[in-house]
Amino acid sequence: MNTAKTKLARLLCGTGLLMLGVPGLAAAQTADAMQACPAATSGIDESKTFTWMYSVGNTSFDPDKITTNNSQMYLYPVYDSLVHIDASGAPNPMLATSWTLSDDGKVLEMTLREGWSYHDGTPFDAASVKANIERSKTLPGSFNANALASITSVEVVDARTVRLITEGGAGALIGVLGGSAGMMMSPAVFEAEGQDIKPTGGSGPFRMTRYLPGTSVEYTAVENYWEPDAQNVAKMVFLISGDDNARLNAVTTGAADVTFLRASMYEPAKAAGLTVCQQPSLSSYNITLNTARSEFGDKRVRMAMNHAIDRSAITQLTNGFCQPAAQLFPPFYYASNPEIGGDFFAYDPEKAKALLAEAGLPDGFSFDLEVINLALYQQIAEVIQFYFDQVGIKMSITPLDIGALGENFSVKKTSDAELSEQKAQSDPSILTAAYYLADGFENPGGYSTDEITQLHLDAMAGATAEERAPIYAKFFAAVAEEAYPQITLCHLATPFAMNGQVVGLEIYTDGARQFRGVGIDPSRKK
Amino acid sequence: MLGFFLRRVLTAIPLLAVVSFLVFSLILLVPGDPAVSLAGQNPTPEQIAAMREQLGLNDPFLLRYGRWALAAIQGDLGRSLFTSQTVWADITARMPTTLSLVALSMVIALIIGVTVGAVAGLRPGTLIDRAATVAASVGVALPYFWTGMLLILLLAIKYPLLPSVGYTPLTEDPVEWLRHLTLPALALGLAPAAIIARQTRAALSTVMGEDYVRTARAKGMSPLRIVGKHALKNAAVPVVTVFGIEASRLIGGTVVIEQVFALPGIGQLAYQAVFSSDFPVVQGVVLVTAAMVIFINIVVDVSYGYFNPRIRQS
Repeated sequence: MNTAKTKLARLLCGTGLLMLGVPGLAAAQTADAMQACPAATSGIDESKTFTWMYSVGNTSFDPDKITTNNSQMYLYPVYDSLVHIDASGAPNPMLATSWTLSDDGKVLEMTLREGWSYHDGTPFDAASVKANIERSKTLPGSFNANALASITSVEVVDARTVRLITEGGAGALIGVLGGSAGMMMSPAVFEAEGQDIKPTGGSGPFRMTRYLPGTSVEYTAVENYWEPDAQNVAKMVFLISGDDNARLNAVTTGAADVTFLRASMYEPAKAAGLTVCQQPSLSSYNITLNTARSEFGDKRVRMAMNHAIDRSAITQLTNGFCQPAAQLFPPFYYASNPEIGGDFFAYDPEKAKALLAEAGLPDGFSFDLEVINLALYQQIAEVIQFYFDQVGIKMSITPLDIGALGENFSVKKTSDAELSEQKAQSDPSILTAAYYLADGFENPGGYSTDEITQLHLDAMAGATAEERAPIYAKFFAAVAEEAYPQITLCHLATPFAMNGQVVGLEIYTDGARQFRGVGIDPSRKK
Repeated sequence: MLGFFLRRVLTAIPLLAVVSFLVFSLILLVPGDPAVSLAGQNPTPEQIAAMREQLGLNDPFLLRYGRWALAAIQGDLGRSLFTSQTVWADITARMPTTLSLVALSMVIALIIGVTVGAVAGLRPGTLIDRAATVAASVGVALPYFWTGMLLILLLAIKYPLLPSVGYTPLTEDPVEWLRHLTLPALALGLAPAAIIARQTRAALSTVMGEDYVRTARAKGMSPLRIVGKHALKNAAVPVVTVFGIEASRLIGGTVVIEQVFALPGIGQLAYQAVFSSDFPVVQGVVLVTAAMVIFINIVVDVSYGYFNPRIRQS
């Protein structure tokens, strides 16, 4: 074992998380093979209650007034969207039963579901869709305004048909309308008091019947829901606790049916005899660079940084829950380049040193990395620090509160680089705009190229995943070629732990915690 | 006595003003601009600026504090930045949980602490005394969260006798209320029980050596009556002081214990508000908590008069 690897072994063991081996000497420790959750059975008892436990609460029950992505989880039972993004990330009909895109890609025409009404009895029709979208665009502080910014007008063709006209491409709207931006709320309650805590104008399979902010939410099934298979329990309860152990204990002792797992909870969950299932997700850990600072404006420097990191070390550190990656989205997702695997930027410290020398930095350089002040992020940063040090890049680490991290990097633009987790959005264009366009929120240095900007616009106009996939393949090839100032380290898996009676639960790759079709089968062993 | 009580209440008002001002000042040091979180997905600089303006974050500090204080005097603690709920509604919804937890913890602390302390104090130097002293020393050193986790492992997971998480209001089901609070109250109450035990032992062993106890014995008074009527009452002043201090500390301890047991109390609310930079909620919780601590101290002060008439007369 050479000196450098000995040091790394000490570093990793010192974190308390990794005692399994040393990167490069042993195969990366990986979590068990991805395992789907138990499928729905004929023994489901529809009178049962399903209880899910999550770490953070809701910010509003009004889709336009939420302030966090996680809040959407609490809205899915209450509001149906125009489009349903399924567990694999593909768009499917929901309140819009079909759609077509104009030849120039700028107009999206949607045919709407017949015979469905909002929970307050208001009929679901094209006029209500128009009212929803216009509200989402114009309500001050609307969470969905930016996602719908490309829409210039909404036309009601007839009661069952609505037309969305955009300035640029309308194709991206299909995915966007699968999230909170496409959730339909009865226009009759737009101005009603208290919709943010007692929603009465929902359109989904459940009504919210009890809510203690930050603690619990209870939902009760509505009658005659248009898709009965999506509604297999009489009630759903979402419990909230920020404590990992409390959530795991809740499932172990039967107080909750399901929770999600962090890497450190995986083995305890299996040891407790719980059913553990997992799926790859679209989330990733990334180092994002401000090209206006340090030496990051030089492509050779960014390339050197990519080659300096052995990404399998991060995989080890996370007990296999984060697989090496070199592009924002994993290769199984349509918005990616299948040719760009985790070894695209092969670990090659000599090449990294040569690239730095070519860039006029034979002795390396120094910069500061800001990270979220949680243990795992700091441990990942320390591993990266070790690898950068091997090629002469001196990286200091500044732990920060998550709010300050984003503010420093994206708003004040005072930090050199940040390490953070990027979760998926309802459409890939939201993130490609944020990271790769010159005015992107996650691109404080304003770095971009004409080719990438054009490919982003082309992808926005694609009508289907099939149409958009080759454009995104070119897009991410160009991103990799430029060694864009966003270094993807690895893609995360999403594991859930549950008791044996939970069936029909799907883990969504985009991180949406949706529980359509989940059921409880009392005939199974708990 | 009433005058004394009113004077203490009046002195609490400037104290609350100072506390609220200090907390308001400390919040300025908390990193992170809530406007960035509230301005929507991937906000533009203009949207962030508009949100700052909407929240009044561009106003001078003293103006913001004055505005908040004026509203607070009228009973309006503002609204949560993230949930739009009024802070007062958030606090009152969670207050019964925290009060139940603290009250039950104190009952446990008193019963265990006074019993163990009295048994040890009446037999100083014996094996029972030494064992109680060692147990109290260990109890003082136990962190709340660690005790809580051990209790869960033992009494909720290994032997599933009690629930490990959640809460049932007393008004809904008293039995479930007690079942849900037993483990967290034990976790929270053991350390103060140890401190009360030590204090009771020390005070009682001193009192038992006093002349009037010897006189009572000489008069043929029964040992139970000597301890119950004379010794314990005279030993109570330092114990009550410790009880008051521990009650105040327990309110702080709820922040941790409510996380471990997923209890919907104001400790959990404070934890969530701090981590999301929800300043109005932090401010409201601190103010209400400070008021509770001041109230407990007033009750302790007033109780001195009951236990020791000389204090009342002075």
